[in-house]
Amino acid sequence: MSDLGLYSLRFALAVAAFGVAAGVAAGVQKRADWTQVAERCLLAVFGFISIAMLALFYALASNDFSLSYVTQHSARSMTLPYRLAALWGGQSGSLLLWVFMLGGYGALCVWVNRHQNRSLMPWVAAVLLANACFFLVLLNFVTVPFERLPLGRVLSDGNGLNPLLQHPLMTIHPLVLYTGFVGFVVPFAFAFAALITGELGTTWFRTTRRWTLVAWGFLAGGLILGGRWAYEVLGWGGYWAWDPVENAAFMPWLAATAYLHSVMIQEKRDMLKIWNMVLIGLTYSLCLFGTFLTRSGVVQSVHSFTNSGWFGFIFLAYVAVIALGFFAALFARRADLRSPRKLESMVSREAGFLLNNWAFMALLVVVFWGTMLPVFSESISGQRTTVGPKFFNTMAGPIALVLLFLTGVAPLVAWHRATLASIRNQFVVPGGVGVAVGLLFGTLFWGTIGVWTLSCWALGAFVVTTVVQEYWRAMGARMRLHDESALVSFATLLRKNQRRYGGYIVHVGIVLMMIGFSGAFFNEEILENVEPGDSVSLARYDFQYLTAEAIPEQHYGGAKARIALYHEGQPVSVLTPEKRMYWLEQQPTSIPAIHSTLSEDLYVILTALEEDGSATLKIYRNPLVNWIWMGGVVLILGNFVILWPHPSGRRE
Amino acid sequence: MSRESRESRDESPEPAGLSKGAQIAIGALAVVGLLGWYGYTNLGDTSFTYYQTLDEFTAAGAQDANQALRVHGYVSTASIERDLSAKQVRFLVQNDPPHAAPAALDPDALDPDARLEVIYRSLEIPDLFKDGAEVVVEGRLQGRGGDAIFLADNVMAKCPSKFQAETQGQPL
Repeated sequence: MSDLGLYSLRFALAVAAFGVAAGVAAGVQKRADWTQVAERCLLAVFGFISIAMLALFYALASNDFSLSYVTQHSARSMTLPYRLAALWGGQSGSLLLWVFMLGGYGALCVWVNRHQNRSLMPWVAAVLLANACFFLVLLNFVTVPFERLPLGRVLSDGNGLNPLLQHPLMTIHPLVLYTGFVGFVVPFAFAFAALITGELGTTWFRTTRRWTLVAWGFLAGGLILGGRWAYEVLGWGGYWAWDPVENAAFMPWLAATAYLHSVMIQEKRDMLKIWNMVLIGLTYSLCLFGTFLTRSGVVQSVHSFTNSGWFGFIFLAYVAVIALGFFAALFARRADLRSPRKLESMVSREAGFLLNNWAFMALLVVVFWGTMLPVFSESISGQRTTVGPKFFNTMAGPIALVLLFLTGVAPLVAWHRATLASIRNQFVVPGGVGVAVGLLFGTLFWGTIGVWTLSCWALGAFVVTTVVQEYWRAMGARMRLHDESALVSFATLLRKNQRRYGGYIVHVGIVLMMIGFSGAFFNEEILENVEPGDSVSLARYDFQYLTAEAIPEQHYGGAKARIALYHEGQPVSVLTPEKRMYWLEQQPTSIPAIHSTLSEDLYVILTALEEDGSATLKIYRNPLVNWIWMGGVVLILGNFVILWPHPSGRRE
Repeated sequence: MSRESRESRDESPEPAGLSKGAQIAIGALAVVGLLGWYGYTNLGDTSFTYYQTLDEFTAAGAQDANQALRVHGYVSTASIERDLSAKQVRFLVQNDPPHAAPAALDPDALDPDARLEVIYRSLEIPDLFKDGAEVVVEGRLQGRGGDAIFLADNVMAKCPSKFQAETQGQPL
């Protein structure tokens, strides 16, 4: 079975390389038959990669420890879901997942476009296959998932998966994140094809709008799931540490979000044509660069895929070739992309979206600079200088607030040029509500609340009010004109003008998440050593350490502490943080206990059971964390509304 | 990256007059200048940390006591002492992994000057922190020469020799 996988990857590479040639030949000679050859190569590559995936899944499920990968990342005592999830627990397996996703997107893309975009498709197929080629070269020659151990070293059991990855969220988080990451290859390939063929009209971005939204939604979902996993597993009380690995996935999301907004200006006003090309090129380049960052160990992260030098080198070379190729093509076509239109007024929706783009780019620059600073500073001064969360929070905070402000303003301002009367009509109520909320909380929390937090809440209220007002007015109009009930008019709005009203829902999701982030300003924590029966208190809560008991499980042992939680003297619940010892991996892992409410989370970590019978507890009070996950769900729902097929097939 | 992308911008908010390239350059400069000024006034020295291996750290000699440092090394075998009453953990860090050189197996055989004494002012050690673990200690040096003690505010650990997947071992 594993040989089947090995040879599938060989065939996949051969077919992919041939397909690139066929695609280029078809594109140059404008031959429909060669186009079909290239497309079928893409389907075949996906087929071969799927066989390889199945073979590796089978090897993991059947405990085939003759494979080095299975030995390193799985073990007999692990349950089947985790044995399967070990496929993305290691370097070569996760690269296989990458190229599998790429093949899947490619095959779907070929099928969807079998009757349309025929002149673009040879180049689209060539770009997709060229990307697949690179990963297949890695999987065939550099880091081979089906590599066999020398016969004398085959054992009857494996080393097991990193315990931190043995968590339900880790069975889906990498899938979701990669679906997002890799998904940008389709809009990138179409943009590239448009640049090569010179068909620079609206086709490429109209065709890929949905693809981009799917990738964007999955990437957002992946980031949120990753945060949730970090919160539940890593036991440091937070969900986001601005680690290079996190930033690597966040940067393409920033570029993609900027693109989704600015491409609307191109759609409505035929402006920013070069800029949109830049953004989509940047997005995919950052996806590749992020994959490179997490695997090469270039930036010293406490937790990255480690690897030896030349893997990183060829990976960087590949990222550079793809990015340079795209931007060279863009440079060559720049004259064709010039727009005759000019911005008419600074008070217009175009201007609002432009400012949004500047803010996203500023945020991207900050994250990129902070992430790469160790590399830059070492090459300039020989001294690696690093920055931590404080840098990122300080720098990103104000930019995020500017973006929040624009979230409320930009969608409501008219295209071309807004009049004073229309601005008054749109913003008097939301502005008033924002100021009122600011004043209210400013008075309530006087002295304890910072100006940034207060601004965040006031702006959040402002944005939500603009959205409510938009729904209110549109629903009111429908209810009068069509004599509909409120519910029907709401549903019709979502169905008929899903991009606009779905977009508002996404914005509300962002506001909820921002409010959740702002809760971190009120975080409290204590570290106490307690004897059984003793209590510690934090805020209005008391934590009584009752006892500790053993937790003998199949794959790990350890202890569980029982802690009674009281709120102002009233019993609330019993929390059971665990200290697990994964015996196979020889790794202790702290599993926090979280008591979660809408207003705050109480987060307890059993830091250590001391030899004298006492327990050392770390307790955090994290206000508003739940708002982040709620906001994430709202954001994804909003994205679904946007993506839902329009009743008339095509919009408008 | 940012410069390249900005120069390729097609439209800019300013009305005509200047060339488009100049408008974009001015806009980019204004944004970067604003960010720089904001960062300069709000960040302070504590946001920037030097990252060194223990050998580099030792070779650098007397360092500015106020400079925040991150030092990379390995926990010396049998050097971890947990002090419950003082709520701190004391340990030694050496440059090379203890299992790399046979001499290092015996902590006393190693040149004492080559090791750094660390006091971590918390009991909250990371899960992966143990003898021989690869660590990064973050904090400041106190004292000079042989008596110097590194006061760590943060200890990050990485499991030795094991392949690590994403988001492993966050800072505390």
